[in-house]
Amino acid sequence: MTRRRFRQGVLVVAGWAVVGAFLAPLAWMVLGSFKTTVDFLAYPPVLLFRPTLLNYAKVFADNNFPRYVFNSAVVAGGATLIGLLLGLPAAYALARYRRTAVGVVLLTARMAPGIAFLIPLFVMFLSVHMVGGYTSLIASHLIFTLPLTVWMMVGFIEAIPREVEQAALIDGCRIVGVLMRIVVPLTAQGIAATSILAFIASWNNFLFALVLSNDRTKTLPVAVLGYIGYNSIEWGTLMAAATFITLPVLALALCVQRYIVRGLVAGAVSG
Amino acid sequence: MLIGRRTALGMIAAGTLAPAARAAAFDWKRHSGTQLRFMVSIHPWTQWAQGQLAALERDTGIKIGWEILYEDQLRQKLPLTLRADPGAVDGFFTLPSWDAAAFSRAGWYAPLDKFIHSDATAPDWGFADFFPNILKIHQYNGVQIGIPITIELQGLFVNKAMLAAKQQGVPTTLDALMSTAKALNDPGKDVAGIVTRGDGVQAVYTFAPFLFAFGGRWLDEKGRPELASPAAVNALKYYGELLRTAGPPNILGMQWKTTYPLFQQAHAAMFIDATNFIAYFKDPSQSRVVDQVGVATLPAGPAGEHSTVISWGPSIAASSKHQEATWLAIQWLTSKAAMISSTQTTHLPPSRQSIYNSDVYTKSVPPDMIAATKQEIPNAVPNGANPLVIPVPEVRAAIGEAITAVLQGGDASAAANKMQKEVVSILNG
Amino acid sequence: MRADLSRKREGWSVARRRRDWTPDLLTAPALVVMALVMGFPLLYLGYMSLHRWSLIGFAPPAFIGVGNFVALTGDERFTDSVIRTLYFTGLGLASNLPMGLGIALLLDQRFPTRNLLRALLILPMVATPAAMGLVWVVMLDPSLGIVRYLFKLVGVMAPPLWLSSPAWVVPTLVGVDAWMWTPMVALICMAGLAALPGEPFEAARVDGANAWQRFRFITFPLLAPTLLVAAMLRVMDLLKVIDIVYVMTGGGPGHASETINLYNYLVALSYDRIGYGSAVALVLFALVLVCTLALIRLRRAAT
Repeated sequence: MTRRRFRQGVLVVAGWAVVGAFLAPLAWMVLGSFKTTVDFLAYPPVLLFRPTLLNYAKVFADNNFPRYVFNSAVVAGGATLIGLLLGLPAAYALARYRRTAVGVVLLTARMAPGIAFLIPLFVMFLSVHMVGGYTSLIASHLIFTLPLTVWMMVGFIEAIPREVEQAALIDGCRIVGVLMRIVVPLTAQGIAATSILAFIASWNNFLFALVLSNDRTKTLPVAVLGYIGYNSIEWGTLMAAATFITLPVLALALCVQRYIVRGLVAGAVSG
Repeated sequence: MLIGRRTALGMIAAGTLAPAARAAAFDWKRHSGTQLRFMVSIHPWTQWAQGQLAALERDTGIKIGWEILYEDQLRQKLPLTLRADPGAVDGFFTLPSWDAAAFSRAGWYAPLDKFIHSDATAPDWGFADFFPNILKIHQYNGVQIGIPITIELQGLFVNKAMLAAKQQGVPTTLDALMSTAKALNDPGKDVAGIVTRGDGVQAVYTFAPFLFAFGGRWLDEKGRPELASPAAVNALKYYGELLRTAGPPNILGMQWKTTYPLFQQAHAAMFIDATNFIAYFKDPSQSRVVDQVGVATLPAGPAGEHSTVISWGPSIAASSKHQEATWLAIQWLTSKAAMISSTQTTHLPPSRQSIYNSDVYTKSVPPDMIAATKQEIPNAVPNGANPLVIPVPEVRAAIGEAITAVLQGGDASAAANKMQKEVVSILNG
Repeated sequence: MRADLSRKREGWSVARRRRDWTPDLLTAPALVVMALVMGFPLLYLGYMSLHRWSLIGFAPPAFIGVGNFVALTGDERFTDSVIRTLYFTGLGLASNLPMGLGIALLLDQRFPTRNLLRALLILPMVATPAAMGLVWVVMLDPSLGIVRYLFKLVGVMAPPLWLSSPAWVVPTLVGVDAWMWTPMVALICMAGLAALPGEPFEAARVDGANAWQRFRFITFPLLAPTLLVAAMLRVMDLLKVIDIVYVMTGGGPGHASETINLYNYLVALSYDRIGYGSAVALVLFALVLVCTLALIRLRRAAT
């Protein structure tokens, strides 16, 4: 074997060992979702067992589960969409006109602990009887989707050559036109990546939903806690639910993984 | 606990017998068309009830929004909603040992006495059928604030096979418990002599019977904390020693969600906690000790044996605009027929004497459970799970710190004194 | 060319004079919404922090000025949580950064399936933390968990008690957090590595420098700004950690894993002392602000 081949081999092994270690807990979760509780809690752990689909059946038989998926989708979708509508123009202003005020405000938002907003928001929403509604949930999620959107889009916008916009502006295009006809198409991939990251952040959010949702608008991470019963935990079902919750997110992330980093870094660098 | 469709239909059939037969004497539909909202926590009974709502609506015309929340969530949301949004909630699930002091002070319970002894109650609903001292659990200052659903005691669960293997009998005194636990403790084989809660805050519950067994109590007659008494110190010392020497190595911080699997998977010889757990030890799809599990009364200390007895149950919100309708719904859900159905599903000891003594309950649990709980009920301390104060979470945290300290080998006296001081300061504002 | 530019410039300045409000219009909606969901709540938070405030309302809110903040300084449980959180953050940085850099260096090399590995690496980052926390609890269980089994396989018979050990609970949680976020650090470093110019490396190779020397004298210094960006992002999240703590230990055993944010949650929402809780939230906010600004300064100095 040539020296180079050997080195390549070592790298492949090392790479898979590292990534494999990171993926192992996820694999364990998926494996567990097919085990009965007895098998799941068995020690020494069992790798060979009688798989069962009962856990997934239970998850889907629960009449409320589709509702929780719906809730998560509505809240995450709403927070992402509104984040985009508000964040894209703001990101443009930040990138092209150096309107740093917005940048500072949003960076501060990123730094603040969620609970600093959660407490007053809860009290405020309570007094207008809005706790538990989609509006309060989406509004609270904007606290992190909006900064994230601006943060990432600034980087993608800065990557557009200025001349293209300037040409359009000279031609008499108004700002809105520039945004719609030039910025959006040219940053389409960036927008997709940003939206997906915002969606994931909102989908995974636990604390805000714990405090601000009610039974009707409960999102999935909070619903997962529901499998911790009064006297027992249905581990198999819990794993099935956890797998189900994580799956869409994993799939989405894989689609845009190339742009995730670009966005993450770009915002931080220019901020 | 999630219920399949077939069982739900079965329960609906069972549940509708009584009201339909008596329709002539009592008008169950008198509040037809009302919409109610109940806020409850995750509990086998609330999950059973959720499956009953369709039948309830059919019989009474009342539509209920049955909101099941994670217990922590309920404890945050419910007080806030009752205070800030009067009328938003009509009925709720309450645990008097935790809620009664605070909720009564805030005036959130609608007293039930006026409903029970009026024509708003079906004549055959059977108030007298409830165990009188269980009803007392849901009374505060003499006022009935809720209807108890179950009788939750604590018991000593043993793995009969493991005891037999080491020629040990079931311990009936605290001294015997200590020696049996030590004898059965086998770290080499991954078996703990005994396991119970080690997480400070949660352990307050399982620590309580030990406190009472040594003759202690949470509060004195004037409601002041009595947590530095010799009994409290002895109880702390005992609890710490028991679990440190015969408990699993990771006892510190162990919550019920990790203690019961140890016993269930035959990694612990004995287990102390709520009697409710029997269902999960007898369930072959989860348990490895289905045939080995035995139940006994809690061991007796110098002051005898005193389990805690608590009970969740539905209450009416004082700010509800549909109090009579809410009462009607609660009646329906706690009628004899309903309780037969719920007991069949949850296997929890019912609060109605007729059902408790009937085959429905006695045939659903092992005979030693019946015997053990029968013995415990007369001595049990109602709502003894924690001091009956207003700031329950904070006080529980303070007591929990003392338990954590002794589980780490700390001095019981010092821990008790610290606990007393802290609780006094919390209660003083 | 010049004539073109000056014409364009004229065009711009004419346009500018008429369109002065444009950037403000662009940012206005975002700023308005931020003011509503962030600005106003923060002001309200400040207001509440100056009161003794019970939400359940046995007494009306009472103004006590800086009373809450003074009480904080004497609150042992609070100061312990601050030290603990700083310890958590320090451990987190010390583990995330070197590991992330190492993984980045590995995956920066060209070898078959590298791109697939890069893609798979992001998965821990995006998995739902609440759900994964519970999975980890089971895996780490000292009696029934697979982690114990794996240790046994390599001959360690008595591994630490992980989440049940007051000494090990924080490192264990840092480990779970590292599992989730080291991939992010790695990805950031990979982007940074990809942006490095090639010439210095060429020159070094020509001069005969070996791999370690190349790393120490070229890669590492050039990568410093990127590492600081990663550090900044991590510090912000580490100081605020609550999700995994809530789900996995609830702050226990005892208070051994109680971070500032968790204590804040308990005080405000469980013990019903909203005024005091607001004060804690403000202090936490200030702490994150200070640390992040320090890192930004450092990064400016490094570039």
